[in-house]
Amino acid sequence: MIEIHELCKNYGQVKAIRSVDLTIRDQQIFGLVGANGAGKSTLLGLLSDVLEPDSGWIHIDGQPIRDNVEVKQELFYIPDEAYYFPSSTIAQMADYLEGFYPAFDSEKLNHFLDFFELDPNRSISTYSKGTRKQLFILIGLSAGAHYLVLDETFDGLDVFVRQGIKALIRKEVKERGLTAVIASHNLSEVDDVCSHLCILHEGKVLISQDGISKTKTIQKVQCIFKKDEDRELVEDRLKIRRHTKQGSMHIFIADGSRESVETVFREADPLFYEFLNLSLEEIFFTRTEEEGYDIRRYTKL
Amino acid sequence: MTSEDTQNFKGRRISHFTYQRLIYQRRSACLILTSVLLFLYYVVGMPAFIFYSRSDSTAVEALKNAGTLKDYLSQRILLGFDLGIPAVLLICLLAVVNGLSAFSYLFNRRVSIFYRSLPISRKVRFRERYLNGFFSFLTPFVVCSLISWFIAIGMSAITKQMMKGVIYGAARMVVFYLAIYSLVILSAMLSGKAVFALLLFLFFSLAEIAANILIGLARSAFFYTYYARNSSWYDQYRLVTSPIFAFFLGRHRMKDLITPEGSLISGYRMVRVDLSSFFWMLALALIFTCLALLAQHWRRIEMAGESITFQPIRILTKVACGFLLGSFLAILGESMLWRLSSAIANVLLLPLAAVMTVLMLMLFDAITRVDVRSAFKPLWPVLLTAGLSVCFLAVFRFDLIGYDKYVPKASKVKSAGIYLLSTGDARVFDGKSMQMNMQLTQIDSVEKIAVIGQKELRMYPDDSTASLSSRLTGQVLTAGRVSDTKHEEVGFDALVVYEMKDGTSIYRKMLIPYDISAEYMDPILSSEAYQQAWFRFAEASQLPQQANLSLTYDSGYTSRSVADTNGLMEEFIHAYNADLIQYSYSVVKENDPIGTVRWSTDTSNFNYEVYSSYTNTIAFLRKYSLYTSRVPSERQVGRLTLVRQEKSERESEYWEDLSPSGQTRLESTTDRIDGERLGSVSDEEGIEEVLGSSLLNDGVRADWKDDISPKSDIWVEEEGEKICYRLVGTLKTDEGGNESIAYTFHGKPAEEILALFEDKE
Repeated sequence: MIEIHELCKNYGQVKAIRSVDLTIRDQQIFGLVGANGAGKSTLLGLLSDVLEPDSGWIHIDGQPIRDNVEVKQELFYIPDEAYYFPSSTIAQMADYLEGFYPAFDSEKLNHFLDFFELDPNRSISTYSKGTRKQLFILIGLSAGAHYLVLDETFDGLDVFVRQGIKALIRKEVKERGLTAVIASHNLSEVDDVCSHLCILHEGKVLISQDGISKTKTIQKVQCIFKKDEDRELVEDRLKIRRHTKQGSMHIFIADGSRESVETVFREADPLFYEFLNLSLEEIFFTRTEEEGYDIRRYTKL
Repeated sequence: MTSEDTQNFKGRRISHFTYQRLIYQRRSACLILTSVLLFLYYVVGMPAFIFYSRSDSTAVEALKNAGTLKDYLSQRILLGFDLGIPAVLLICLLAVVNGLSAFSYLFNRRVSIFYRSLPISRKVRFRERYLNGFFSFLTPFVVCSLISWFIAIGMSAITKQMMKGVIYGAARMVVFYLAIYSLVILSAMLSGKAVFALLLFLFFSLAEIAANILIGLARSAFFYTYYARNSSWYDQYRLVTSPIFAFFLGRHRMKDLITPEGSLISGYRMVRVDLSSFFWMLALALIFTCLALLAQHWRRIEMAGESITFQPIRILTKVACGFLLGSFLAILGESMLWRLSSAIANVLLLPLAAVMTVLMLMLFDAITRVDVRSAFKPLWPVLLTAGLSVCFLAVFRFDLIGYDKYVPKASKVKSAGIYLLSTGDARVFDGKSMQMNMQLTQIDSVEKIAVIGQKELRMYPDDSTASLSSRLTGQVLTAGRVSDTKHEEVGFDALVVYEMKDGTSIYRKMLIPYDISAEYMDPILSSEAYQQAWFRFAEASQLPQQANLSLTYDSGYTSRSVADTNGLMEEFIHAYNADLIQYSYSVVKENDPIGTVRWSTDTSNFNYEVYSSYTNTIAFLRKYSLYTSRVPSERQVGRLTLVRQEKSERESEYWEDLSPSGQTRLESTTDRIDGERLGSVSDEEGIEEVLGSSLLNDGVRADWKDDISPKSDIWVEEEGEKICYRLVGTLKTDEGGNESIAYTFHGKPAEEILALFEDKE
């Protein structure tokens, strides 16, 4: 288990992480999403003991991570742009990393490489950016660490490899208890593979919960009103986060439980109303708008 | 692998040898480069050096004749294995390359992230990389050294006696590498870019030296009594933080540790003389390493890519660079302004210091942050640096510490020496520097003279060295004081040296006025300590065999020599010492020397003035047919011409044209003499009468006598002008030819003498 307590990190005057509290349970696939500059990479860097916090702490399995060799052997970090030795091959990188990760399984890696038709003796620099990412994920999965920390992992992977990697991650979680922490911009991808999602905004945690897309505190309803007074009743009685209109069809995103929202709509008695599933994107936009992040200014460009 | 398998590996850390193997795989290029360069230097270079030393025909032939060839080669080879400047540069290069490459990950954020994320502690990472860079040098160094030693032994260049010195020299090189290497790593820890790491390394290596040079420059520029010793820089400076200095100090001292046979002396003396340098370098290596570890502890990944990682270090280097460069440029600017106007230079020095310092601070930030405006953020370092520079120069310019007036407490002085600076005689000057071994114990007398002399020098500073190059080489400049009276008309340029009881030495220049009371000077000049030091004798046994020692007596107008000087030196010393008992300032002032005894080698002259009362010396000279009277017989002189010289600007140019250390006679060719020719005498009676009058012999030198520059007691006032009467003439030689002679009258000649020359051409 990873415990993060009141973690703060500044870059000069910029507060990158502000008093973050999180718990990442074992065998979770923990998704970390947020806008640019939200602090995702910083948080992962802190988690991997690459960066030092200004305050707060991170414990992994009850042990502080700071300069802790035993704990770090259980964690493999793959940054957005992973470093590899110039002119080195996959085999050489693996050989190097094997020295540091005693549980490194080179047979497993060879199996992965064989499956994805990658030559271990080919120079890494000759592969495309996406393939290099894939390589490091495979190396990470072979390192034998209990925790795999991935920053912007799926970006650049083609659809087939992406599905393959997701399947591998799920398999590792199931078979050997891997815990994966994945940061991504691709909300739908994260929604697809992660069991727990955390939205980070301006260094703070907005939401962190399992099955976030199945959130029960925000409802999406589409309806058609008989008259304007019915619409006004709904707007008065509910806290509307977003309201869009397509012809006579109104779509509302409102706070509240399903029952409380449905009560209001029954009272308004529209011609038609229907509850829809919220996408992660809608949840993300709604929550960040609440925090003052104006998505509309981008859509006006 | 199952979780059970992974449990078996839990806590197992990478071994030292595995980590080293992994590091070497990535740094093989450095290892190869180091090995190649050391191979070329030792295995190829040292045998070539030995071969060249033996086949340098000029030296070999000369030394073979002197019977010292073997010793010379032994010493040279031993010092060669201790390595000279080329090897020092090589060691520094290898230390920089290995140090920067071992820690190159610090300069790239992506690379830093990779290494930081690995399960290895920072301490271990530092330790293993440090050792890797060190052994990347040590291993090939040991191998190449051993090979070169075997080759040298095979060439019979290294004997058993020399091995100790060779091994010690190798050990010194390793420690030197360690010190430089540690400093490079410290610099890397304090910087986020390789080029700035290198600049920081140069800063740390040279800042202290630069500060010393700046202080020396300021002293020479502003302190009238400052004396720049012509000693080597490692005798002048006492630098603490520089491993380069420590190395050269040890190497300099190594020469004292080598016997003529080329072996290294052992025991207490070696420990005391050189091991201090050895352990000093080791201590510096340890200190730099500890500081580097500390810096690593505080260093963060986001610092990669910055020029200087820590704000306090940034401010420290900024202030230091601004202060050193700004002050230096201010002195430079002042010296240029001074040539235009000393008054302007005086007024502008301090503002110039402030301006130059600020400019240098802006330059610093332009280089390190690519942003000139950030030089003023924060403002306080700028104010501090400008203030430091202004205060520093004010202290020197206005002598706020009383340097020029300083006379140490007599109770703290062990001995002292007073030296005339005008002499280049080999008695006291060996061509490189003055031999300062005088041990006067009449400290009170010395200090009385020093007080007078230093005050006089402040009043009439030496204005003959105004060029910038003179400043940079340490000669004293005036810094703006203008005087109507010229320095050389006032007194003797002299130096007082105090050997303190605490082992230090204090030097002050002074200007002893010509009219100083003999009461002050007699106790000094008549003392045995003064005479022993000032009239040093060249022992024939101490001179090299090729010296071609000759003995000459010069009476001014003629000289006689003896070629076979075998055994004469001891006899002369005995005679001269017996006469020196009467030597004093009063004697010198009241009497003119009648001649000079000169012992000459191929390269040096040892001159000893002779007075008419030196009966023992004269007897010696007569014994070997060297003696001639000061004034020739009238039968020898063919013609005497009286010249009346008027002191004017033209005359001072005339005097400056003559080399102070060389030509002293006026040539007899009349068209070279300025002034008015009053007449000539050619009859024997007239010549006899003239030669019997009060004359100075310009050809005979003496200490504590006015030199070629116009003497105060030969000038007389006539109708508001300063007039000097000179006598030039021709002398018939035994071979039938003619020589020139020259004399100066003491003041105005008697009327009857003047009458001899009237209207006679």
